[in-house]
Amino acid sequence: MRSTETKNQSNLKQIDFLVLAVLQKGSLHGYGIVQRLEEMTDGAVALRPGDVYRVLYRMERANLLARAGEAETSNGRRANYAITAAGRRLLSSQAEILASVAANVLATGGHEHVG
Amino acid sequence: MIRGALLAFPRRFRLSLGMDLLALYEDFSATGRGRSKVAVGWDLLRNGLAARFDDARRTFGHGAGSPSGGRRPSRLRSVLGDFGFGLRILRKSPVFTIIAVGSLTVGIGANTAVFTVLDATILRQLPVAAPDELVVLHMAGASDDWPDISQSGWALTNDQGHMEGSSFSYRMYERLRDAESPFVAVTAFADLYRLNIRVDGAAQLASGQVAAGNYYNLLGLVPFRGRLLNEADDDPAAAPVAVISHAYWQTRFGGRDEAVGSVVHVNGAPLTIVGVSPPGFDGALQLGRAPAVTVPLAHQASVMRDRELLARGDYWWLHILGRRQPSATLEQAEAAGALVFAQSLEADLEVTDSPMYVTALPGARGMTEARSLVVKPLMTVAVVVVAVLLIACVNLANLLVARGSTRSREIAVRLSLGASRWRVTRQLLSESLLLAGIGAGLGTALAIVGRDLLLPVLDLQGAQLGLTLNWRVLAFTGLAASVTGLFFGIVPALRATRVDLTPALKDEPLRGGTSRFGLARVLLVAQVALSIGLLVVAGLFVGSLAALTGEATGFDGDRVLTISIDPRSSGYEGPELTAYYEEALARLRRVPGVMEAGMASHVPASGSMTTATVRVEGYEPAEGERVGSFVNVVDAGFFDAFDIVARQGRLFGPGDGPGSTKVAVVNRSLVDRYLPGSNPLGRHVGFGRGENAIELEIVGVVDDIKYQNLGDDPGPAVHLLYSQRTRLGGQTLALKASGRPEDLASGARAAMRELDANVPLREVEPHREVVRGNVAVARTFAQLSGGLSTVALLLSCIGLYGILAYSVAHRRREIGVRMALGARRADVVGLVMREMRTVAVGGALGLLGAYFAVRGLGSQLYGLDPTDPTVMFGAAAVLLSVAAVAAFLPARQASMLDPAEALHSE
Repeated sequence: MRSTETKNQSNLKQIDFLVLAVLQKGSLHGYGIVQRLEEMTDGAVALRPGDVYRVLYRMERANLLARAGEAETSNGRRANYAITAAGRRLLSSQAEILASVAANVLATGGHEHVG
Repeated sequence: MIRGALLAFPRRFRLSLGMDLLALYEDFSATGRGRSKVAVGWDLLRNGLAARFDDARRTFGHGAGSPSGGRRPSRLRSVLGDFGFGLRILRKSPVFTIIAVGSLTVGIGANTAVFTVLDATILRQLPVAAPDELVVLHMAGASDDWPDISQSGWALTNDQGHMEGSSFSYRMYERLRDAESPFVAVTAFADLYRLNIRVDGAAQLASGQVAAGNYYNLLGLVPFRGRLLNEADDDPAAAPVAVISHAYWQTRFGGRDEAVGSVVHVNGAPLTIVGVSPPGFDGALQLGRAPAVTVPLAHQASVMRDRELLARGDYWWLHILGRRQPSATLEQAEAAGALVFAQSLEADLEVTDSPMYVTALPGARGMTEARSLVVKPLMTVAVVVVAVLLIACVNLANLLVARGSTRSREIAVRLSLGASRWRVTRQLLSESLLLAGIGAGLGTALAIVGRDLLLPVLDLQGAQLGLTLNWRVLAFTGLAASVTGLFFGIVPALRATRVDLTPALKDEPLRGGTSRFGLARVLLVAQVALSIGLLVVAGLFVGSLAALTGEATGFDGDRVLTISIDPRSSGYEGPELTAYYEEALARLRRVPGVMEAGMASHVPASGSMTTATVRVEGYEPAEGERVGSFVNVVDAGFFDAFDIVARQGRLFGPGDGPGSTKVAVVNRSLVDRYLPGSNPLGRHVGFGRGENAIELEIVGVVDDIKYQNLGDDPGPAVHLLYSQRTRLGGQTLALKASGRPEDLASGARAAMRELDANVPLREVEPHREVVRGNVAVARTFAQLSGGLSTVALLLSCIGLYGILAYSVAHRRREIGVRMALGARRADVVGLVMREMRTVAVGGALGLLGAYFAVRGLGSQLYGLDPTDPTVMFGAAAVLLSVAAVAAFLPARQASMLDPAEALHSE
C-alpha cells in the first residue's frame, strides 16, 4: 500500500512547534529553552536533555533553526539556537491553523461528540 | 557511561550537538535537577534511537524537508515501517504481548543459559596456538590387565568396558620426548591440587600444577609479565622458580609488577616467581581445575612432600600432551605413543606382551575426562530446555493464529485496498520477529541469572568455569530468536492472509468457525504431549531425590562440624604428625559446646575413599579375584561423633595404642561378603606386601556407612586406628556440638590457630553441608526439572485457555441459539469442556513418547525405574486437573452468556 506523502509542514510535531515558539522571542541555549518552555506551559511540558537535543537536531536538519553564537552562563559557555526565516514562516502558518482549530474547540465546549 | 550511551545517536548528531547535549546535563545537575545514571542512560538511549529513526525516515522520504512526495518507498523504509507499526500493534494488546514475550523470554533464556554452560564446558578450545594440532595420550586395558602400579588421576570405564586413564610415568614421558616421533614436541604436566602457598608470611590454599619446561613453548604462549618456563628449568640444579596465572596475580598480588621476582613458599619450598601467564589461559587440566601456580617438574619433590616421583617407573601421574607435525595424523601419534608405552612397560615393570593399549585423542580442549562426565547431565538439561522453548513457540504460534482470526477484518481491509498478500504477511512476520527479538533480549538477561543455577547440576560448585556471554552464545540466542520468530510466525501469517474477503469485511463470523481452530488443536496436542513428557522427567528426578535422601546412611552427622587439614604441607610428618593430631583433638574437646571430637581420613558422605587390596583370614579368593575394601583411618572419637555403634564386638578404646595389638573395625558388608555365617571377631585382615605388610585383628563390626554417593552400594570397609599407623595423611576433624554445629566454628578456629597458625584449615562446614553436596546433583536436577516443567505446564494451560476463550468468543451466537432453544448452563459448560478431549489425546501421545524417551535416564536415577507407573500416571493426573481448571474458566464464561444479548451481538 503506497502512502500519499503529505506536505511536510503539517508533519510538524507539537513539541517542535513549542520550541519554535520559545525561540521566536530571541535565541536561547539548551537549558534556557527548557526553562522558558516550562514557564510558557505552566510546567506542563518538562523536557529531558535528550528530548531537547533530539528536537534541536531534527529541526536543525530541517533548516528551521540554526546555531547562533554562544552565551555566557554561570556554568560556562553554552551554544545558542535561533529560529530561521523558514522557521518563522512555518511557525506563523501553524499558529493560524491551530488558532482556528482551538477557537472551534473552545466554542463547542470541547466535549461535543462529532457523530 | 554517559559518553557510551551517546553512541545511540547518529554520528552526525554527535559531531555537531554531542558536546552541547552533555553540557545540558551539567546545567540540569547544577540546578538540582540531575538524575541517576540509569535515568540519563535511558534518556540518551531512547532519544538516540529515535533520532536515528527520524534520520532513516528523512533519508527514505518521509520527514520534513524531503522532496519525495509520491516516490516509491524504499525497502528499508518500509521494513522500518513494518517494525514501527508492529510495535504499535503490540502495545495496543498488552495481554497478548506480555504472554507472548513472557513465554519466549523463559524459553530463550533457559536455552541461552544452558548453551553458555555447554560452551564453557564442552565447546571451548584452549586459548593457545593451533589447538587442533594438540594430542593427548590415554592408555587402557581390562582392570585385570593393568600392571601393579600406583596411579594418580582419572580412570574411567571406556566404551569397550576397559579402564582408561591419562596418567603416565615420568620415564615414559622422557622416552617419548627423546624418541623419533610424528610430534613436533611433547610436554608433561600434572595437577598438584591444593597447595599451601605462603606470601609475605600469610598462608593460603591455592591450586597448582607441575609442568615440564617446554610446556608454555609447546602451547605457543607468551608471558604477560616476566618470563614463562623454559627448557633450562628442567635442570634440577636450576634455581627453583614458579609461574603464576593472570587470575592469581590479580587476586593474590593485586596485579602489582613487584610480584615478579618475589619469593613464595609452596608447601614450604621457597620459589621465585619469574612470570605471569597470559590472561584467559587456565591450563590444560580437567574441567574447572585452573592452576594458580605452575612449578617446574624438576622441583616436583620439594613441593610434593619429598616424594621423589621422577625416577619411579611404577608411579603413573603425568599427563602427556603433544603437538603433532601438521602433516602427521592422530593414528601416527597413537602408534608412536604405543611403541614407547610398550618399551616402558617392559623396561620399568618387566611386563611384556601386555594387552594394554594407547589411544591418541584430540587435545584442543586439554584433559577431557571431567568434561565427558558432565556431557550426559548437560544433554538431559538441554533436551528439557529445548522442549520448553518448543512449548513457548507453540504458544506463540497459537496466539498468532488466534489473533490472526480476530484481526481478519483489518487484514481484509488492507488486502482489499491493494496490499499484496506478501506485503501483509511480511507485516505479520515482522510482528512475530519483534516478539522474538524482545524475548531474546530479556532472555539473555534471564540467562545471566540462570546459568549460576546450572553449576550444581554439573557438580562443579568450586570450579572456575569462566562463564561469559561471548559471540558464540549471543549468536546462538540470535539464531534461536530468528528461527522462533520466522518459523512459528510464518504459518499463522500465511493462514491469516488467506481470508475470504466478503464476510470478513462485513465482520460476520467466519463460516465453519470451529475449523479455523484445527491447526490450533494440532499445536495444542503437541504442547500437551511435550508438557507431560517434562512432567514425567520432573517426577522421576523428584522421586529419585526422595529415594536418595530417605536411604539409611549408617551415621548421624546432623550436629557435626567438620574441619579438613593436612599438616604435612606445613612440615609435620611421622611421630610429630601423630602427636599434632592427638594434641589438636585434645584442645578441640575443650572448646565450649563440643560434646565429642574425632577424626577420619574420610568422613561419611564425603564421596572420597581410599581403596586397597585386603587379605581376609578365612577367605580364599578365586583365581585372579581382587579382594578390595575401603580403608578409613580414624580415632576412637570418630564413632561417637557420628553416633556409630558396634553391632558385634567393640569399637576402639583407650587400651588400643601404638604398642598394643593392631586392631580393626569392619563393616557389615565385609563380613557378609567374605566371612558369611562365621564369627568375624578375632579373625585377621591384612594389607600390603613384604616389609610394608600389616595384620590387624577384627575387634568389632559396625553397620554399613555410606562414604561414597548416598546412592551407591557401600561395599566392604575396614577402619584402622590412626595411632597404630606409621604414615598418616590429611584428616578431617569431626566435632559433635551440643547445639548448632555452626556455633563451634569460631572456637574451633581459635583453638587450631593457637596450636599452629601455619596449618591452614580447609573446609570448615557443618557435616549436613557435606551430605547436601553429596545429593546436590540429584537435588538440582529435581528443582530444575520441577521448575521447568511447571513453567511448561503453565505455558500449555495459557495456550489451552487462549484457544477456548477465542473459540467461545467466536461461537457466541451458536451458544446463544442453543441456550435460547433450552440448553442448560451445564450443557454449555460441557460443550466447551469437550476441548479436554484434545488435551487427553495430547496427554496419551505424550505418555507414550515419554515411556520410550526416558529409558535413557536410567543411569541418572536412583531407586526407581524410568518407566515408574506412579510417576507416569501422576504426571497425567496433574496435567489433566490443571488443564481442566484452565478449560473451565472460559466454559463458565460461556455459560454466563445472556442468550438475548448473544443473539443480537452480531
